[in-house]
Amino acid sequence: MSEKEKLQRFDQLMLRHKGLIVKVCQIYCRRDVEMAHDLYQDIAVEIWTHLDSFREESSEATWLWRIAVNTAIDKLRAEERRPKMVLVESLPEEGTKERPQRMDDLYEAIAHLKAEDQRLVAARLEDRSYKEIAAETGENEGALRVRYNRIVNQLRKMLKGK
Amino acid sequence: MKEDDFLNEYRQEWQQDGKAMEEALSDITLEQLHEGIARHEASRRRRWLWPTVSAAACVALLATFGVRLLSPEATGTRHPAVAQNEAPQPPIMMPTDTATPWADEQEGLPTAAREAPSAQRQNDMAMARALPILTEEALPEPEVIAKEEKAPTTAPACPSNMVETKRLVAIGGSTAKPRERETELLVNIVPPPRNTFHEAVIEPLLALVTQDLEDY
Repeated sequence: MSEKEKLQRFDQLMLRHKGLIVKVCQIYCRRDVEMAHDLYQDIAVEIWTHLDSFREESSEATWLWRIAVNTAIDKLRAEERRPKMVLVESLPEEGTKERPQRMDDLYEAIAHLKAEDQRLVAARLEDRSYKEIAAETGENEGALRVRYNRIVNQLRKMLKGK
Repeated sequence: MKEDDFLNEYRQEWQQDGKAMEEALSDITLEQLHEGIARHEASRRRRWLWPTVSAAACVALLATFGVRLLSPEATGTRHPAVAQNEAPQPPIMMPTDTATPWADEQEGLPTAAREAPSAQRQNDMAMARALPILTEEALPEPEVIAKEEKAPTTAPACPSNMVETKRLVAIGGSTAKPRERETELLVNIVPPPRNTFHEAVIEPLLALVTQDLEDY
């Protein structure tokens, strides 16, 4: 693949699957827009880096979702290792929570799922039908239903423990 | 569905968050992504450049002091036998005696007791015949061979042509003594000739660094 062809392919992918990348940013950055911007750029770089190795063994969307999730996990790990400096004025007052804790718990629980399970939950939370998801992922509708029930049970257990 | 009911309480907030995130990231353009990729590629090149430049600088510094990396002269690993090996070799004498090699072993036995050699034995003998036979003057001293082989003193004496075969195997057809031949082979394998090393490693490396410095 020449550099020009690679660039065209990259642009197509980024335009076609922007929604997926945004979803990954939402799961891993929650409402931190600044971090989401950085993550979006990092995901784009990773997609570019691995574009040559994409063999179309899985669908484009599945491949891209995996790259996005792995990049997000790596970024979060790197962020955790980095010492944080926070201005005292920007800290939330005691007793108040900047974000609804309930949603944060959900994001955290979803982030602990496998990449393909995360994608399914995100799609269902977006009110997308099984038929639509099956067409996108190439999976069987029935299998998706069974998997989704298992994931929901898993999430319920995780959130109950909070 | 029951399972969906469980996530219903999150659904609305999830969708709101999703819309907010989409809006926040809508200002990212393809041009910005291209710039990000270009920055990443440049930093990757820089990460690669410094170790290369350092390595090239070290090589240049060593060369200033007259040290040639891995050259046999510098490391003192070049054995005189190598030089000897590079000199033209004396002609090899071809075998003149084509008598059956196992004939001597069974000499003196009654004809009925003489056994036909096995296939393996015949093969071994064919290989021994194929080895070049040296002139008597070129053969190493018998006491040297005896020392190298450390044959057990209690072993029965071999027929004369068997001893000769062993000698030939040990020295591998060279006029050098066994110990020299062994060292010669090792020296030949370990340090590559200086010119080849310079052509194969140093010159492409320097060309690469120069090119990268120009790009940078």
